[in-house]
Amino acid sequence: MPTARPAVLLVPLGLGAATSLALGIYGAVHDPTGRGLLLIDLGEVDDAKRALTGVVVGLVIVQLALGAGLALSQRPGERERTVVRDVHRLVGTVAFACSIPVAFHCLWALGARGGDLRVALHSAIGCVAYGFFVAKITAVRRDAPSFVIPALGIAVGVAFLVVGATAAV
Amino acid sequence: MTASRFHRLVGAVQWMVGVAAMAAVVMLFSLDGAPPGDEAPAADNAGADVIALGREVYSEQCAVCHGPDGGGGTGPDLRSVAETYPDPVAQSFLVAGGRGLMPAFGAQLSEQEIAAVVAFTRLGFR
Repeated sequence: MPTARPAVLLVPLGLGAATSLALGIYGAVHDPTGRGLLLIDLGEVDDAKRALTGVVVGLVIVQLALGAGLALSQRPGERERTVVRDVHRLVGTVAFACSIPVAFHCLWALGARGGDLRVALHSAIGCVAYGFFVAKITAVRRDAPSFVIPALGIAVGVAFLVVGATAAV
Repeated sequence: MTASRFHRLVGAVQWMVGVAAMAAVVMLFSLDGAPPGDEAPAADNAGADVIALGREVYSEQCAVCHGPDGGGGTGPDLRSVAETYPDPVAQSFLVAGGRGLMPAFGAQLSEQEIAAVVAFTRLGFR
């Protein structure tokens, strides 16, 4: 079993924290535009966001199941290339891609706000979710201790599920 | 498709999505609110009745923080709000949704009242 070295975790966690912080600061200081970028009608934007959020939540659930399967079927620290692992990468990539337009609209048009609990939670966890995501994809490319990847994967999945559950649309 | 080709395909998709994500971040920090070629918003062409409604709403809801003449108080000076927010839609959105210490007025003011108070502030509190 690989030995846990703090420096190995420092870069992923540092990048993740910086990402969350940057998104949160942007959302707080940016003046929300109140309109969509490509679809001017906010009703159309809400429809598009609703559809994409549904896809992301569905893929995150699949992703958590695939991740659990990988974690349970391999020995700790084993990183052998398998089709299931590649499907896990593909599903995660597609989920992330689908989340980009939603997050873009949230930050650009709505901003990070603290008006009520749902909005504050959605804003904060939304920023944290991308921080976890950056930490996870950075940790995957480093020789991180075996428990780190599943732990970050669960954190990413749960954070995106909470973001989906607290969405207004 | 072989496992090896599938692995390379997933890698290519990841690169493309990574580039798209970076492009989104660049756009996020470089775009302002008003789409090019957008028509002049109605809030900047309001009639006297709309301005009168806006004045009334402002006195009741906004003046306590922004001052009776928009000169500021616990809230910021609004006399150059049209320069701060060139897009009235963005200003209306802030009134409805709140910002910082300013509460959200979307639940207590109608769309007409928000549009009116936005128009009133943008026309220099006349």
